[in-house]
Amino acid sequence: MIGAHAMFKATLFLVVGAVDAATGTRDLRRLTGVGRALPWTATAGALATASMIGLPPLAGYVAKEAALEGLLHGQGPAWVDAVALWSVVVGSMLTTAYSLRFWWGAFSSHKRFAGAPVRANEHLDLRAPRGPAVEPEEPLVDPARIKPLPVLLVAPAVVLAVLGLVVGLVPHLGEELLQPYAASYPTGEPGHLVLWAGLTPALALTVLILVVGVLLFWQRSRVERFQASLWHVPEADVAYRRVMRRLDDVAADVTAVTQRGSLPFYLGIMLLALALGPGLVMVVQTSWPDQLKAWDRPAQLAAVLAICVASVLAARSRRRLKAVVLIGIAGYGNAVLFLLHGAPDLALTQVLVETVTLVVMVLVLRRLPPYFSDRPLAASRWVRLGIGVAVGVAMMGLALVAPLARVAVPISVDFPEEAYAWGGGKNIVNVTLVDIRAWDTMGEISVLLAAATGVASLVFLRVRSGEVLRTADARVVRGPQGQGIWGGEPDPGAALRRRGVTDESQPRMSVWLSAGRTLAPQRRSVIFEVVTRVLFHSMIVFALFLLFAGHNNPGGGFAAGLVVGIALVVRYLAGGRYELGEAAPVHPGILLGLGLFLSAGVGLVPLLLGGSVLQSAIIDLTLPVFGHVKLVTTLFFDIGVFLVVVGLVLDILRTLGAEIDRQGERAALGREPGEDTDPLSALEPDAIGGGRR
Amino acid sequence: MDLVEVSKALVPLPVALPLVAAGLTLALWRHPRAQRIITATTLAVVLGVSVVLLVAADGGPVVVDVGEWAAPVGIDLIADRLSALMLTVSSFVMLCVLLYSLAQGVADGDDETPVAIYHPTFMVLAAGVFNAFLSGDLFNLYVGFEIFLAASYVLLTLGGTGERIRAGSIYVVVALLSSIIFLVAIAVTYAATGTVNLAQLSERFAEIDPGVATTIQLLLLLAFGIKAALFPLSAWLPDSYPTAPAPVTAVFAGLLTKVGVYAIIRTQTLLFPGGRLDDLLLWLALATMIVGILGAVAQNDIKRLLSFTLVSHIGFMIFGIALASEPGMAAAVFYVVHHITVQTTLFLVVGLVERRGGSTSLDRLGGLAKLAPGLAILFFVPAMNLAGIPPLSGFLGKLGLLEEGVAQGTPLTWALVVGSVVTSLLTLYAIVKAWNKAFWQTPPVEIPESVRLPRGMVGPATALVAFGVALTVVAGPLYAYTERAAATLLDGHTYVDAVFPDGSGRGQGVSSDVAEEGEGS
Amino acid sequence: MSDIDMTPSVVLVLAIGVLFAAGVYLLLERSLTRVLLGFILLGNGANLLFLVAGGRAGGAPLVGTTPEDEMSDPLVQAMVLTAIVITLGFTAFVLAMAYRSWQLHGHDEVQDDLEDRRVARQAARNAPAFEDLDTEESGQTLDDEAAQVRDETDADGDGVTDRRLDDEGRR
Repeated sequence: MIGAHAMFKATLFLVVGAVDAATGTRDLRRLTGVGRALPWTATAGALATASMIGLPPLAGYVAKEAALEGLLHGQGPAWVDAVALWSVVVGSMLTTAYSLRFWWGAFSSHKRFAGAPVRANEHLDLRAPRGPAVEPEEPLVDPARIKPLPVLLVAPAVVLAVLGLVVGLVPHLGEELLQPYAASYPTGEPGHLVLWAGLTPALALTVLILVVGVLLFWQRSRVERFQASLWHVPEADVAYRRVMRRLDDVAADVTAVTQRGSLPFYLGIMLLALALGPGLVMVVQTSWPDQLKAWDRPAQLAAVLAICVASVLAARSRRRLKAVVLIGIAGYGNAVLFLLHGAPDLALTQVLVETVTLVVMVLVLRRLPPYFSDRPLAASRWVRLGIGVAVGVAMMGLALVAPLARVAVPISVDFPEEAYAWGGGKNIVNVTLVDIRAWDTMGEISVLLAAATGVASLVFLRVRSGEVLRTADARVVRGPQGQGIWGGEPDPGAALRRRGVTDESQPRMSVWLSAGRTLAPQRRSVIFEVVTRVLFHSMIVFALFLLFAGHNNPGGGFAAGLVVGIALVVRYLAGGRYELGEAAPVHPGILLGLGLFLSAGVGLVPLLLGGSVLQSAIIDLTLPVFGHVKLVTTLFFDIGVFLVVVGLVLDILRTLGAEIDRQGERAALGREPGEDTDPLSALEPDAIGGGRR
Repeated sequence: MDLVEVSKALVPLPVALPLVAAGLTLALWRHPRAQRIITATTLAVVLGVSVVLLVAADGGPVVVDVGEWAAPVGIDLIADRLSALMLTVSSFVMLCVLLYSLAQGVADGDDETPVAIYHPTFMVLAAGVFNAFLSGDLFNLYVGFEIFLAASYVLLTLGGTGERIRAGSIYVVVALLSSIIFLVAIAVTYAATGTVNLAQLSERFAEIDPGVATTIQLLLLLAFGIKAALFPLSAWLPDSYPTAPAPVTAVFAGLLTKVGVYAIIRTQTLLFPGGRLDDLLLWLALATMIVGILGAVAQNDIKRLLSFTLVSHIGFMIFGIALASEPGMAAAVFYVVHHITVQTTLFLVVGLVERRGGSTSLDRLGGLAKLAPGLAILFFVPAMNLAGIPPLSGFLGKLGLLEEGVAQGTPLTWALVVGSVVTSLLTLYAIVKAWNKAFWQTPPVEIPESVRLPRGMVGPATALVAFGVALTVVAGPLYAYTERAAATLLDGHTYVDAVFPDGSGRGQGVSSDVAEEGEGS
Repeated sequence: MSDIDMTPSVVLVLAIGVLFAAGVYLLLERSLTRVLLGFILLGNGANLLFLVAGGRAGGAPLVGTTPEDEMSDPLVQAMVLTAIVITLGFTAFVLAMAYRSWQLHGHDEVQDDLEDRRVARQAARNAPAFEDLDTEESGQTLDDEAAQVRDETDADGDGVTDRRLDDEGRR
């Protein structure tokens, strides 16, 4: 039934659309002679109408027949079936009448109906102005002016209509397609679709429906008058409009309440859900822990105090820099806790990450206003504090309750043995990262890759990244102010003394870092440059040590990459952005890309050799200098990790460090048209799309 | 080699190949042509792999212990019917979107570099989504989420316009919070059970204090609910999605929320059978449907309107999940498949509408039915599908849900049944409104007579429309497949038995054997 | 009972509570920098939660250095390490977003959504959500609406506002 319904309804919609496209109206009173002008459309309409009426041999007939049959043999209470049956019958009669009227009105050539209110096609016409206000004064559409339609518009309707015919003639096809889900209906045996089922009560009903329907159509003016007398207050049309208007109002009201457009509001709801949902369940359904200890090691207390004080002060701080430094302290406090807990790898990584974060934050924040904007938040402050405390308490509850619920042995008890026997490493954390859970790590470095490209796309905007800057690229930039790379106080004489200009005359300052000359002298520090010069290579060597020793000692690709990153940070801080280019004359995108390619690619190699993805192998080698070497293939994976981390830090330095320097200098020197610092240039549509804005 | 052996080798590919491609395309950022070939080929291969897995998974879940680390110690990837189905649909959809966006880039004459980061990021997005579908490990599921979230941050803020930064800020911060909640949930899970392997968790959650288990269930539901845009955690979505470029919005709308839904299905059925939260889920589903669709009615921009229908229809899927019966779950899975397709299609077509009509605001569009009849059909078919007009797939999914809601017959499920019908009607109302405005009204603003839509963009959109219709044609077999998928989801042991084959509590990886040998010698 | 002593230590739990409370307080701000700092604190809190989840403190998980039954749980360490590094990536990204926001708008605050406010005003006026264009011309375009939305942070400079509106106007 539904399938058939869809076919004829869709056809009718399409037909109406086609008629509208051709004549510019859908008002039955104005249409005439369309059938002659659009024979195909009319045919499709006729077929669909016939199907809707339930005229054999169309799909609608087959379906309706089946429905009637089903109702005649229904299993519910007798009166329900009877009501349902007769509703269907009466409904079908009316359908027959209005369908005929629809088709007749739309396609036949005729004089206009005498002032009849148009209601039959109401559901088809949601938009055209109707109702008593619009008497059918408008002229009939001139059949001669009906435009021919593109095939594309007519074809689907015709196809669907014909499909209806086909399905009617070959009902088993439809049944086969539909049977699987018809069979899943909870009640009743699956109905069967047949075109001719013999002289059944259903057939009699169908005939009855058709006869009454045609009768109604024939006597349509009388019926319409009867309808009008029955139904004049309130006009269904007006009522419909009122309901819709009311609906729109309610929709707007509800949306205005739920969809506030405010980020803190959204977050507040989620956090409240966090504190109240799991929090309350925990309070209600679990018991207070019966065993507690103050600390594992007393030194933890000091670190925890530092963390608490720092984070509370950070939350209160109105100065950006102060807040950032305090957060950094909290981070280092975490590192101490890791170390005390017996997690040296974690502590090492945390310290390195915290350092990089701190530097990068300072690099960016020096461009932002020093204070957070002052906003009248006094009222909401208590709300935020309340939510914060509630979440904090809920988390403390989780931390107290969950560990004591454990009854099973953790899977990590198997780690030491298997890490050594199958992973070939003594540092279990590192083996976990590059072997046991290498799949995680592979995902993680792809996160880094995505984040790095994201940073670059936000800072460089249109161009993924400029060229790698070298010392030779440094240009003399003159400007009204001597705003140097470090954005210090304006120094009237600085412009004269800056980069390149004083190149030859200052030989003693140009030795240690080749790009040091590009900095304004008041920003240079010989000691810093010397220290950097000395330190840089030792740091690189240390990083390589961490990388290669990581499998058995604390270290590994992450730590090594971060150490190299910090070495680059130092070079950049000492020598400016050109020095960065000197230190790492390579594009970060290439490092990131190759790193991920290496790690994921190494993972695929074992597949080709008949092993499992990311499977490692232990290779025993005897090398001339090192003697006996046990090489685990995960080293290559770790090198990929290393490359990605270096690429990330380099990318961050080039964007949030060097590029922001450059944009800041340009801003200080006055804008150059078409440069990124011009906010408007950022509004050009980007390549991938945005489409047309 | 038989199908099982082959498919075992194939399981990691949907994640690993896109990642290799991501690395390669980023390293080749100067060569847009090579990038295009690599990404398109990769997704096509993944689609092929998915289809094989779809067939293989019908014979039982395909499990791989990554790196031969036997399961609870290492990470296992598992393609059961649900995963394979999601994988297939999403890889097909992503391929279409990729082709569409390539054509868009070419048509806009921008062989320039932002495309250079588009490709790697898109690949990372794909890898993340596929990883989430395949992962058999809770923490790895988190990593999968982070992968595609990271990529989505980049794609959403592409170009860095003011509008996108604002929308991006809302999106990113909300997603970061949901990630933290997920992380907390994992920490608490490990604290309580000592494992993060899903199969093992399903055994261990039954053993611990039910109060703690319920707490964790709620935490996970909260984390995934934010991603799936479940009311009242849904408000971020309509604010952030519509500003992105059309193909990006299409992928986000089609896939990202469904990953959340997938995660809800997986965790609620596998980890927490017994339906402690089913009533809560039913309420949430009802609220999501109604509030979402009222939001859609209130909008007058097609993209926003569609975003609200997206939220609203998540309610249908949650409805099916909360029914916690095979027919309900089957209908929900079917609905997910339908909705991925139709929502992506609509956003792509709206991208075409935007290109043709110069706007997505209904106050500025009009008369497109005459100007671009082909486009009208492309919009009309999926729009009617979304509204649930029979016999399209949307209708079939809804029908399944209603049947089961009626069959369960509690007052709450009846409320949901009524709510679903109302939502369907309102969806139809909203969609018809958009249809009338954009395609039939006299254009309020002059719309150029002839704008050629690039064939490369129309092609994929048409393919998706056809795919949506095809879902109806193959509805019988597909529905049967989702019924089998639902059966395995709910029987509670197929998944676990597949991960730990001989009841030993360890996976097929050889690491445990090696370790034991080592101990013996 | 499990092999490992799971008794939580109060100082760690206290640190978790304070980190989460302070983090949430910052997260609910409008300034992206503060939101970011809040996120970092929340991340730290979650990492400590993992530490608690791993059970008692122990020796470094190095085979040969620490006896197996005295090791701290290596799995949580691996997971935390992953989380730390992911956080680093996101921190950089949000910073770039804050910088970009500052570059465009002169501040780094997250603004309310314009369309949502339009709907809210509409609801307040009780105006129909949808003007029927056939009967009546809708008075305003989206851009006019957008132009009327006052930026609540626009207290300082007109230049900033102009830029912002222009930004909207280009949509």
